[in-house]
Amino acid sequence: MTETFGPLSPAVILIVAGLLLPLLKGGLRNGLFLAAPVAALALVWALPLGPGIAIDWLGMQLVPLAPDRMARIFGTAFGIAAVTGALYGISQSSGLEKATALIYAGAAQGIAFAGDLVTLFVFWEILAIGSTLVIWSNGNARAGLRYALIHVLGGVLLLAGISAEIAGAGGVAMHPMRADSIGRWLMLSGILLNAGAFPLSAWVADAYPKASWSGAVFLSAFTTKAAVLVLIRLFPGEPALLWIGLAMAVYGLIYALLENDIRKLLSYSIVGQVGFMVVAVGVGTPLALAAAALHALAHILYKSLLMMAAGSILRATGETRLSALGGLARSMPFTAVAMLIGGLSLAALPLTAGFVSKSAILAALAEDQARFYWFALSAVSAGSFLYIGLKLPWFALFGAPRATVALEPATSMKAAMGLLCVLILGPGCFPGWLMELAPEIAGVPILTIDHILFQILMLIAASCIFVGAWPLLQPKAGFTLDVDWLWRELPRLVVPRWRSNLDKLRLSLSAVGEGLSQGWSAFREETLRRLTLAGNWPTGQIAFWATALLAIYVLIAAL
Amino acid sequence: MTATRLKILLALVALLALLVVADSFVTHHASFGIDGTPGFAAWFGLLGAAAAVVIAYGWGRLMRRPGERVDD
Repeated sequence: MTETFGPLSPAVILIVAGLLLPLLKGGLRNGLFLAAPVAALALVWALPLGPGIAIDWLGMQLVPLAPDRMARIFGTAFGIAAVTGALYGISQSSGLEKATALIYAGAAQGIAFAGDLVTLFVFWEILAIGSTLVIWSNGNARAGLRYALIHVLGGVLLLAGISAEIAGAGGVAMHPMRADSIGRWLMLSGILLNAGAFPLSAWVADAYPKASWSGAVFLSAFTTKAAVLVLIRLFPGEPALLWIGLAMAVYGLIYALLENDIRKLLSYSIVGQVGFMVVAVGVGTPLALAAAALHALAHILYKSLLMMAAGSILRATGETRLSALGGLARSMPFTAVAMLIGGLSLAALPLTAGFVSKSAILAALAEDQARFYWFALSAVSAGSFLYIGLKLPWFALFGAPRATVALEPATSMKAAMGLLCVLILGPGCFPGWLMELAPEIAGVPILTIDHILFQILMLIAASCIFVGAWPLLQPKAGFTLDVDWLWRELPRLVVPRWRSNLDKLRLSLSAVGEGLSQGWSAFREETLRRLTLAGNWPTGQIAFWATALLAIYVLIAAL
Repeated sequence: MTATRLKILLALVALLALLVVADSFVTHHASFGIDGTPGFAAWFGLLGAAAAVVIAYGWGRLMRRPGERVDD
């Protein structure tokens, strides 16, 4: 059946549709915007599992379409994100955002199905360009530029690592490896940068909230999860990923707890949840890798839903700061329910998809006897409920209204949110659906009495702390300093202090330059005068200059 | 602490205590021994969430700044 589809990939459908979109108008444009993701998702499932077709290019065996089970899980997640994102954003007026969002989604599918390092790198770069344009399409040039620069760095690291791998191993095949050489560390660093790994995590919360109400939905789904897939393919069982993932989980928790802006809070939370996946990849057993993939799928579902709810609030009130919101449960009941379901799924409430995937990750840690990481991630999971299940809904949805709701969410937006609610609750109530996607988790106890009770006790315990520590958790206007202070604020502090010194240096340099210029003019005039009289040079002087030139030439040649 | 908050807190603590009692009648499938003891999730959840609040509060005191970032 692969022959039937030939090289047709879900990526190609989306990227071609994205390129065609600006040529269309009105209903045709919206039709293509919605139809392309649906067709791509259908193709993810129509493609038979297999090694894919190898193409010989410049002596390299490229496999641009390798549909294995992992590709199908991530392809499904990316496909659902693209379909619901397009449905949600169909009323978005920016044609540029729609076109670039499709290209961005296509690049994510390209990474999911890439069977070699060269194809991976090509789609990696398209992903970076597409996502940058989604941010830029909302008019925030500076944030887009910062995002682009950090991803240029990631791309360069990955390219250097891939080049070293090809030079060393002599092939472009994607295979599991350890970070045991400089080249592989470069590759791992490039991938981790895209995953939002600590300490370079700040770009996620810097860039994503700068997108439009609909653009942030696409951004929350693809880049970090595509990086998780590449980690699964290239670095399963890499020990460094255990502590890197844990650092991400703790960072995401602390920064989300402190955050006042809903979309920044959700962005920090992305880093935290990707941290869970990275730890699972670090464990590296078949169960752990399947759990990481399922958590990526569940996370894409509930984070898209949360970003949609946040986008609806932004579109309706022009506001996303918790300190300026409240009482939205009455004025926006549909959005409120969506936010609650998304938040409870992130907090792994039983009967949600997040409960299934997080249980699988903890079961994988238990199976591997990774005691420290099991206890640490369980504690982080309890803490996550504080910001997503309690702080966010409490201050945004309940209490006194502080913002005027000017716009109700459009029907298409409600349809997208409703669809995601079903997709979160369905696998939560019937985990067997997810077990068909990843049979490795079949032995994990999920809907057992002791496991359900365990999770409910954790969540109620966290609720007690929330009520008790209420004054400490009040949202406050402001921002939390991050590592990006080094390149965003530090130069502004240092440059004025050094400006006077720089001015003095500039004056000294200009004086030296003036002296040199005068000296050069005199030398030139003297040389010209003497050259015109070259015939009268003494033989000894000619021999001296010829020897000097020869010596310089020999010296350069020797170097 | 306001009266409403106190009532909510007491209700939650009572519910937690009831569930801990229920937990002692359930067969656990422990992975590390201690996680199979009755009520483990309750005290561990309390500790985990409290630690998160304390660390976040401390980090906020150090790193939280008023206003917007200059280049935002």
